[in-house]
Amino acid sequence: MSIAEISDKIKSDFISDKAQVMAEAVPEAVEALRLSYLGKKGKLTAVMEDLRNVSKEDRPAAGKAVNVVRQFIESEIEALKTQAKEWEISAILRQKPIDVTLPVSADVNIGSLHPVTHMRHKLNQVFKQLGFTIYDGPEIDTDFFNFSALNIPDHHPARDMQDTFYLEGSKNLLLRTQTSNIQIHAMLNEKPPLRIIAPGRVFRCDSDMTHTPMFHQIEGFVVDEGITFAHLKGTIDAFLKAIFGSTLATRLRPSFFPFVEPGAEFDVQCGLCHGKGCRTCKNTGWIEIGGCGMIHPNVFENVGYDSSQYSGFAFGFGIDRIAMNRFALPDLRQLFEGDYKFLGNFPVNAEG
Amino acid sequence: MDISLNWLKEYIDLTDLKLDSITHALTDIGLEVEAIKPSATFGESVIVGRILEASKHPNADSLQLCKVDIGGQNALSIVCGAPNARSGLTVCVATVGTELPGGLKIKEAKIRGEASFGMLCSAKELGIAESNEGILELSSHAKIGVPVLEVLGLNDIMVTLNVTPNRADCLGHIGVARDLSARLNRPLKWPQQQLGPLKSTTSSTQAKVKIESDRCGRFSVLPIKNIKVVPSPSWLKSRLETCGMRSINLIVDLTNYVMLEMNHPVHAYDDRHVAGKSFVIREARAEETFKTLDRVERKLNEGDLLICDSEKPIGIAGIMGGENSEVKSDTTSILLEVAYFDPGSVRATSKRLGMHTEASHRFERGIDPAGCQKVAARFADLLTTCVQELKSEGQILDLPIVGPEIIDIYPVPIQPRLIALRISEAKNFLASPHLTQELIKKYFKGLEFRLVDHNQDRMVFEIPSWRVDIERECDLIEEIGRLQGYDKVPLLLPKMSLAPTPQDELVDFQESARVAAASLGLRETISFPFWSNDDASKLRLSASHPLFPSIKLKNPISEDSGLMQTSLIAAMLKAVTQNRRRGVKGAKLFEVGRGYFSFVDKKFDHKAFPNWSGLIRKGRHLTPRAKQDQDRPTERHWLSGIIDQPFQQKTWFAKEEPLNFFHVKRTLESWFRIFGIQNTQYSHTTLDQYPFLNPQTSAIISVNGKTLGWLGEIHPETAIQFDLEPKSVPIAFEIDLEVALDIASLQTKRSSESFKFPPTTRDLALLVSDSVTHDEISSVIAKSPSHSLLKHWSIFDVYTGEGIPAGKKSVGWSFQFQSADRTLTDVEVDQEFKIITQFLSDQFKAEQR
Repeated sequence: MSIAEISDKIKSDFISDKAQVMAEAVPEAVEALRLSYLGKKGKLTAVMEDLRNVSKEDRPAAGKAVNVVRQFIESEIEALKTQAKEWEISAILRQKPIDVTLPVSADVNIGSLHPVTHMRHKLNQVFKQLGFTIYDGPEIDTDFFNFSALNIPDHHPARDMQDTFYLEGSKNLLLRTQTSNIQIHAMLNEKPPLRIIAPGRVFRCDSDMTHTPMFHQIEGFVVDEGITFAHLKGTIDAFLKAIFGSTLATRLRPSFFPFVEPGAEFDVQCGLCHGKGCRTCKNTGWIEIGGCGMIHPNVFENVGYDSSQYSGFAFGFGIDRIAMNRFALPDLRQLFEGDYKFLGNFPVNAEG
Repeated sequence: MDISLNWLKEYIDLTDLKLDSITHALTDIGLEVEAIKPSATFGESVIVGRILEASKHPNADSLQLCKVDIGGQNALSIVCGAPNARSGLTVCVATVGTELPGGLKIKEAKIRGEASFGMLCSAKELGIAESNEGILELSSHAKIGVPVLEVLGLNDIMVTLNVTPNRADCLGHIGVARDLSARLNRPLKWPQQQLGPLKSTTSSTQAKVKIESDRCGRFSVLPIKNIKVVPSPSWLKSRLETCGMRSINLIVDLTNYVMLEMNHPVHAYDDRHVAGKSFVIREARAEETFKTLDRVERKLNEGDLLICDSEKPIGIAGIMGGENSEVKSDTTSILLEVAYFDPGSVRATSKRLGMHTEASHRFERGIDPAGCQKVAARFADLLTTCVQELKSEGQILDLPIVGPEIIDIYPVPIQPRLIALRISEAKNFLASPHLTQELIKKYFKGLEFRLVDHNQDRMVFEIPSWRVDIERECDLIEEIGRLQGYDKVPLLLPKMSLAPTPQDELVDFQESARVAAASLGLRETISFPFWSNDDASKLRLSASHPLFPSIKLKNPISEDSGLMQTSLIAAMLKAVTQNRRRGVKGAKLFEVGRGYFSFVDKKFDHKAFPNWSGLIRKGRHLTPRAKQDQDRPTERHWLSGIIDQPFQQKTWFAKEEPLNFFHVKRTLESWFRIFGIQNTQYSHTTLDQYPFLNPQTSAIISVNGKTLGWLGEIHPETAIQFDLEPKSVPIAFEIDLEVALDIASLQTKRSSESFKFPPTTRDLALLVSDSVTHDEISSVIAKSPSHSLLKHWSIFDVYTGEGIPAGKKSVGWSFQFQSADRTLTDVEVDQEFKIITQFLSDQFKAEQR
């Protein structure tokens, strides 16, 4: 057979092979088809190599015949390649639908922050907006910082307001009973004007259903010239509204803490009954939040501030209870049991 | 403090006020109302009636038909089953419509055919007694038709006040009434003294007093003769009961009554048992013992203040009297003590003896030293009144003989304080420009403060002797504030300089540390930082180990929480054990907390514990001033975490996979990455420094030679101690947050180079000795003679086992070559890769695979 005849034969073979590939519609078959004709060991390649053996005179005609077939196959293959991409896509889409209802446990990857941490973050944010700086201090402190500098002398009945843990082998060291110790640390170390908050752990020798030996408080105080009781009221009202909602009323009631005078307790209107009285607020319409007052001149004198020049106010309250309130938690002790499932209820953005 | 509203009304007219207005007024002036409890168990529709006629019920043997007069025109017909119902008896009639305490509603009814319009009640049916012995028989003096509540003195309301420790004067009804009178601008009615003036003397044949300690400020004795110890009249009993006290006898009840009225504890001694009729107030000697009224033998401390007679102690001053001299049923004469003791002294003794009594509660807060004689006279008046009342009811009693002398030793009379108030200061401080001298005068008049001097801006007050809390001008301003009402003060925000107080970086860093840990899938827990005595041994810590707890509580909540933790690891392990018990698998927990150390008694051994030498730093949470305090304990800020088995639980798409060191190392490294902490080095722990960790599978983490913390598998013996399976132990870590912060702030935050030309990768498998570490190979690669195109190299496979000779391992490394300005050719990459490969083979005598 002449080269031209062979070429024609290859062309017709290709046409039938191509029909086969088209019928199967397998994307990979296109490349296989290409290789079997145009690859190193392909049918047409072999013919082209045979051209060398053709006499010089016949060579142009034979070459032309082969080329025509080669161009035909190449263009057919190109068209098939485009086709193959479509086959590929439809093959992907042909796979069986999965059971999208099968469960997965996303739970295992969800870290969380403790409710008290969430609450503290909220408080820190509110106070930072009001221009307060956060101050830290020791949890084991001396009698001076926790009591006597705060105008609570030894053998004063006010000490009974807080059952104190004392350290063995020391007359002086104790676990702080209140974050108020930071007032003294900060005032001894800084100069007015001061706007400081101090969140932290405190300890009292008390343990039952509604008391834990360790709990969290936040202390805040402001010292400058010309600070009045109206500023105390305004600040308390501002942060309570920021925390509990701007529609709730706030109030101050006279009370006693040795390091303030006048002293007060502050309440926020019960958010459940809006002041009408319900079980949560024991029918008073108010939720007790904490204590506050104008810093006692004795405290200023204890830290070397001139009490005729400076005045200020201080406030403090527990974080744990308002965290319980916010997250509707029934049991205080649950906060400190390390229950993995319970803790999973407070993902990083739980506070929103 | 429980007060009786009826009693309070004796000193101030409150009849036109509703209960709500009274309790709000009390709360508004700082006497917070904590609870309100009516004495009544039934309503006013139960009234006094008299049985006019009682006859047998025609259809029932056990019932009677009664005609009862209740003060109206017609007598009521009531069917009654009580055997004691008889004509002439004064009874309690529950009229139609009444609801009794048990829930029974009284209706018109036909009982066995006879109409009945009410019910005659027993004490039990009225909820005032347990027993049920027929219907309650009232005194024949009781007025027909009035509510039974009034007759029985049950129309009272108990109001529980939270009296703050500064308001000693409000631990008596008169004090509360005085505050209310100032607030409501109504007069205070002091009880009139009926007794003629007592003859005050310092020495008498009736009694002698000798004060031997300056902690007794005043001691008065009023002798009262001709008494008889009888039960108290019912009004006295019911008042004491309303205030939570049990009635004992007339004399004891009156001492309590006077205390609850005037806030001055008094004590009655039986005259027969006061040897030599003499009182010596002295301090106790060492080892002295004394039996108090409650029949307990008390061991006294040297310095406790005692009341003695000429032979023996008869009372602990301000706390409790003695059994030896108490009033008994046959007592006929008493010596009444009214005294003033140093508050601190009473408190110290009360604390030491663990005796908190009504008397000590008042003495330690400070009672009125000037009021002693007035209190004694009040007791005598009340006694006389009660005896007269009992006589009129038919009891045979003599009137008591009071005094006539009162023996009163008051060595250094306490001088009244004078305090000046600047009106301008009060106006400014309370932001209350409406305050006037007149208004202020009115407030203080109500409180019985005497204005001794004044000019336009200044008022000088004499402070009443009972107001021990008023010491400075700010205390006077508080009085104005609470009497005018805190609600009168406007709301203002301070106007201040914006200059911020500096804030230590550690504060926010600790919060970020928490958020980062949570973002890596760990859940934050908070635990109590106390250890039991066992915890250190469970962690296999020797007494010389720096983590062995050195801080002990004097008064722990319980024996097993008496030590301050040094590490959070014990709490973490306990949490894992608890969670496993609850059926939780794979718990991942963390906590940011503190370890507490004292290196005063126990010196730190740097040689033995080099990795722990960071513990003795003074913490960042201490101000320069606090750092000056000698012997102040150290507090370390830990981030502690624990991850429990398994790493992957069995699910429909994954097999169970155990947790290993590297899973947790990845978590921790991610945490470091968040803060830009790089170049962390890991080296094996040793048992002597980290006895609670398995040394084969745990590491010390450091950066540039600074120890940052540890990470590893819990030692199997520690695991067993915490009730965990030794074959399935959790992996924990603890990081010193101060060190982490220091490193994070030192390392420059630099983003890695990014290239736009594609990288070329070559892989290499080497057979090396199995003791060669990753870090060793990596550092050799870094030192390769040619590595200018090499941008990144990492290990992708570690293999031992089939096909690998013993003592060897196969490590697979991947090398990435890249250039910033061109696409690299295979030729130049192969050239450099060949040099690296050769260098590694030479350095580790390694074989290429």
